Amino acid sequence: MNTPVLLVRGVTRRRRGAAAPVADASLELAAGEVVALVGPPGSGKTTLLAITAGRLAPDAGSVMVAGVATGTLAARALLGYAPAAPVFPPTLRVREVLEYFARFHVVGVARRGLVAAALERSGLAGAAERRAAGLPLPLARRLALAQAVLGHRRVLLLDETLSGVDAAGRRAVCERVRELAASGVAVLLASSDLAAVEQVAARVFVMRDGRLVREAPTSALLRERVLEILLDAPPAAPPPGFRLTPYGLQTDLGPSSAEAALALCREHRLAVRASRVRFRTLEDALLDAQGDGAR
Amino acid sequence: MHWLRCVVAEWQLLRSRLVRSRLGIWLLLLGAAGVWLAARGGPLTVLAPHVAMLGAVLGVAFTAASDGDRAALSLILTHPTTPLAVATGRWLAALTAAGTLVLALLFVTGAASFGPAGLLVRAGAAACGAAAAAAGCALVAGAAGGNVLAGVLFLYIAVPSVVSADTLGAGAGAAAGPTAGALVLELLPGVWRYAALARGDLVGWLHATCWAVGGVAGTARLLSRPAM
Repeated sequence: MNTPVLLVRGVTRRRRGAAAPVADASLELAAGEVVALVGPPGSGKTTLLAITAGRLAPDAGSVMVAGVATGTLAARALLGYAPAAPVFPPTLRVREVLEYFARFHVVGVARRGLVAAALERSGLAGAAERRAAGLPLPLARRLALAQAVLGHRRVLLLDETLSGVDAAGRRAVCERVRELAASGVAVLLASSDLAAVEQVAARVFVMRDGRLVREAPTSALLRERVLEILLDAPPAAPPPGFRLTPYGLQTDLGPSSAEAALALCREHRLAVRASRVRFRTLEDALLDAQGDGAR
Repeated sequence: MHWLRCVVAEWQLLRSRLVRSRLGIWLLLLGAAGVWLAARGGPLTVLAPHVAMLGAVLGVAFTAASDGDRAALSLILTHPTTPLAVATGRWLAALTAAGTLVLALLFVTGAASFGPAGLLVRAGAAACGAAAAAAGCALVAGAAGGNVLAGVLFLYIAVPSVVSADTLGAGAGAAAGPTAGALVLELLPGVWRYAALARGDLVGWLHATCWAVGGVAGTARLLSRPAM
């Protein structure tokens, strides 16, 4: 891995108010890398992003952005944050919101160019004269992404920016994220839209109860094969390595073959009605991380 | 320079608030009331600071203290600006709103010959000092308690702040309530105190300066706390 541009070390924050707790979270992002945080609601994704953005103070641990402590003026010039429920200054139109934020980054003619480019690239050119406060959530999230990208940001934190948008909108946002990553921007995105995460993220962190419980390259997670077995009658206890499902059994195949797994079922005198092998999805990984109780 | 740019960014929010919120209408009504009172013999050195202070509180209410403005701070402070620049810019915006209102008031009263030119200048200076103090106080109130506290401050400036602390203290004897009232009148920006600014009252100017500087610094301190 290249020198990390975002370094989160042992970040811990107890439950306070509405923010979910985070316990001993550590992660690194290299320039141009897209990493996803997935987990059930309340698992601490938003809190971790807010701490990383410097909007929440951790009880322990540290966050460094390109070698600078987060929350400082220098770090805020390098790190952009698009919250899940963005609130923009009232009465401003979309273009004015971007002009307002752009003033913090550049001056003069460059600012006008920056705003025009931001409107174009975020697909908001048609909505430039609409009131930002009245935007539907998907458009508001696009505007949040557009303001987060302004300036020379090297790290982007996107909270549910890919969620709740239609297929075309999601594709556009995914393309924008890939484009940013290609230009060297490191992107950390929290999302409940696992299909979108599969499209853009190179690595996935799974969060549960404020902890990062699993980290893996997305391709490795999705390469894993799963054997699903439909049984005539559910067994009292599953064979070793198998999980009970509402319709029968399920197991991660790993290097072994489906035939070997089915032979094991026959050894346990289980009446197999049907079986199929499929690739794992992020949803499987997420549910695994949540434990069997979530199944 | 960067800090100034951040201040200007906040100050420029005033334009959209004047034309797209009720701020413009409120200021017009306030100005009309001021002209009406001046035409009926209201002393300009009292009237101008009074109108300016109310205008400044309205300016803060519509540029800094609303729920939307306070919620937006969470996003604004992820950009390379500072709480001090935000507070200064919004204080300046409120001061501009109040200053414009007072200018209009003095222009109309001057044109209608309600007072000599020297009086207009002194009333204008007093109004600026009073507005600066009221804007500082309203910023702190707005940052701490939103438009509820700003509204309370508006009502306080509109009516009770006209009464001087000495008057209240003299009529109170040793009762605790009026003593507390006198303390509030002494401490908070009030019309009774800033009416003396036109006469060059040094204590009054110091009081106003403390509120202007302290208000901006206190607001910056409140804004620098994590927003979520």
